[in-house]
Amino acid sequence: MQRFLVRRILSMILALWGVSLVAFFLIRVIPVDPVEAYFAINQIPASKESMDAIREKQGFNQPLLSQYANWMWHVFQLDFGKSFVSKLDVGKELISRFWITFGIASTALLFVVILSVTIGVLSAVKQNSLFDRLTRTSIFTIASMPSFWLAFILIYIVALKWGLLPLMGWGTWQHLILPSLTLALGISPYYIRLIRTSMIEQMQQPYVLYARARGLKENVIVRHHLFRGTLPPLLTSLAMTCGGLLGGAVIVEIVFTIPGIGRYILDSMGARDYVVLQGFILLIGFFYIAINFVADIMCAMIDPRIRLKGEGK
Amino acid sequence: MLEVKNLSVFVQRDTEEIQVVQDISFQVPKGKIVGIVGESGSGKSMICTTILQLFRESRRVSGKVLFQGESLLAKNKEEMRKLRGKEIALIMQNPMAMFNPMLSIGDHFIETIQAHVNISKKEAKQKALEQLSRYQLPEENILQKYPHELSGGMLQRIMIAMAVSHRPSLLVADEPTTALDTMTQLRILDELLEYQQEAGTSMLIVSHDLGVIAKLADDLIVMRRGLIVEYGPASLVLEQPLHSYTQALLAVKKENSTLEQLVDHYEEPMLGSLVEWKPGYWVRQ
Amino acid sequence: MKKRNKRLPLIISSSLVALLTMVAIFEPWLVLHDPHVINMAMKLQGFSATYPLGTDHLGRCVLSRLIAGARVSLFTTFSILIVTLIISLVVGIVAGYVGGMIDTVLMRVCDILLAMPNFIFALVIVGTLGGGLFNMFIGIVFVSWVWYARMIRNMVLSLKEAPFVKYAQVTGVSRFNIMRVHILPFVFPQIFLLKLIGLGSTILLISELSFLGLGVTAPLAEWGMMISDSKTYLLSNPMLMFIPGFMISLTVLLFNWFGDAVRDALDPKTL
Repeated sequence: MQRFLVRRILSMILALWGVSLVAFFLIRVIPVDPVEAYFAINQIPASKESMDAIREKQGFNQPLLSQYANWMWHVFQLDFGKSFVSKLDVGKELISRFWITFGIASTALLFVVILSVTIGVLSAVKQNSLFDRLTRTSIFTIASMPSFWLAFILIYIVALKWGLLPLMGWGTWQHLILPSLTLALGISPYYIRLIRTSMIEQMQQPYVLYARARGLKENVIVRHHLFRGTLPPLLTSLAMTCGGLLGGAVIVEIVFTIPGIGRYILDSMGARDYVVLQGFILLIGFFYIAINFVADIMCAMIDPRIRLKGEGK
Repeated sequence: MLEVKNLSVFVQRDTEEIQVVQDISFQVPKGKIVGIVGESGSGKSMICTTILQLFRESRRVSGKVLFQGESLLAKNKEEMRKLRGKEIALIMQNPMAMFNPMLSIGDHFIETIQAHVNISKKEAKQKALEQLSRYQLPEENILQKYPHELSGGMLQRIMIAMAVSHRPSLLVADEPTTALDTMTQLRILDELLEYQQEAGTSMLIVSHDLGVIAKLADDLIVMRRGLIVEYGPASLVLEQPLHSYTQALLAVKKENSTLEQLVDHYEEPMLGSLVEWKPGYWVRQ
Repeated sequence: MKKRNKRLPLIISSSLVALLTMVAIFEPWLVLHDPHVINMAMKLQGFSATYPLGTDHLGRCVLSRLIAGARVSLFTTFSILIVTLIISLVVGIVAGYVGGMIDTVLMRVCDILLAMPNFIFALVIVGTLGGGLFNMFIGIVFVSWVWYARMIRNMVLSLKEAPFVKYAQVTGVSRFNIMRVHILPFVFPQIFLLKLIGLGSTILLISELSFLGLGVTAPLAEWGMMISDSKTYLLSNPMLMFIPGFMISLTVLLFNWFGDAVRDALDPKTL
């Protein structure tokens, strides 16, 4: 387990460093000068002097590597810089909005887990039944729908026609339901399929036969043997999906006019606020890598074979 | 105790139906050990899984399986489940694949005990420990171990300890010593015999190894291609085998050649029907 | 009989894909009205003979815009398919076959690029570049090739040990020719199939970025953008939102189905 942890932490650090490179160089590699673009987009008449002054202030005249080192130094002190446009502290702005997005994404994750586990397990146990065939057809259809369209349809039916939930905006827990449900519906089909296939695969295993031979109840077999075996692949891909969830949350936020990180990023992109973008890439990258790390550790805890792998047996 | 009457098993393969067990009858009297010997594909394992009704593939069964006077084939799923592991326990081959690699030995043991007795996890664990110490298994921390941390022989012994934890009246052992080294084989057979004599359990043991059967069985059944070739008291069958196939099997045992060689050489067709040669001794002629 | 049943989905789905492609190609001859011409006098019309699916908030014919949107979506999707295929094949085969430092460097780059969630990465790239059709194309290609390159590299690694490759090496065939003649033909069909299955998600990605206003920009028509345009009319004209979304879903469904059908048809196990 220790060796597993060390290896995993090393690769995590490498990935984090990579993300910092992406965050820093992406803005500089592309053939658009952020300062010029900033002036042009915000329609400020730009003189050469004023642009140079800003370049000087932002350190654009220094060599790239020392800019990078300087930036990283600040990042290590959790200082992500000040916004190019609003002059506010980017770290604080990002985090405060991130919590809203995180709230949507994690509620969606909860919906995903509930939906996919119940439907996936049921359709695996009742393989080829009417229920199973119906789910297969409907998840195939739902998986093809763009999330923003699904969002509008839900708004139209649930909020406009039935008046059950608030239309748009943010504030109460009711505002959370439709956005996260939209997100969950888009992602669940994949998991339902994953759980179903994995469970059916497990059913062929000899240890399931042996469990029956010992007279275990079917629901014990499903819980102890079949479902447990699907947990590692499920956790790994759930962690991967967290990235997709955050991305999906960005879109859903726009549809439901929620003041989350998505809105902020789109606005900052429009204004070419490169400091915000850098902070955003760093934040999302860090979050995504951390989630994957946690998932790997959990898998190793569930499946003893994983943590022994590579321990020179 | 267990009575099998005119049992035939058909398996659906692709489009055709193959008869893997043909019209077999035998009985396991109370407190006795009956051994079935035969090469792989002779249908002997099919008999075990049919008795316990442990199969998924489309299998058609005709005939009767009576256990303590009740027909097993007529029982529904839940009734069968209650019998399995409690009244009829199965010991399987290849223990390495039979244990779930993600569950510890303790998990396996506890779930087995809890399947038939309504007790708490703690009490079940206590019972498991008792059971392990009875079989001289190093009980401390073996419950925390995972299957891949133990040897095949150890797992097989744990499997036996688990199988007898509910004191079943019938023990079905399907190749219980295959793929184990000789010393472990002997030890496991001794343990089985010891338990069987102490508890007075009936036992059906299936193996391709005549030596294993010879050591334990009271009655012996020789099977080939789904048919019973010879069936009678073990001492008689082993000492004066009547059917040429049994003779060939015994010759293999003496010459220490492998069963595969026998299969290659033994080509005599099996004709005729099962005839009672003397009371309780049947042979195909 | 059984065989025919397996072929049927492939025949139907491929002809539907062909039909959709035809619509996209012959768009200029199929549209009833110029999809870009604004006619405020005719805005928000219902279904009629002249405007079979009505008009949008600027009086443009919805049906014509749908057809024009098909052209944009399919054209972009197919170009993304081709370009990512080329990039991932080159990177994957070189990394796998040449190995050594090149392999290490390329794979570390892949690791880093995979450390960001796909959609967000594409979003950031497109956003920084400034939106528009071409920038969206760059952004999607940039995040799409990585995963496939890694797949190809792993395939090549095992292929490298194959006897016919060893034989070619011994007989002195040049590296480039081995990669071209012996490796590419083996890797290509499998990767092409994978990409084909992934086509649906590319279409979704395009529509999502366009919906956010980062992809296709006016006056060009695109389905995601049409939904974005119609969101203020959700209550009064829900059809404006419903129709383009239906088209996206249908297209994605069709491509997913097509991908599955091709895979099933090629897979001997399912026959």
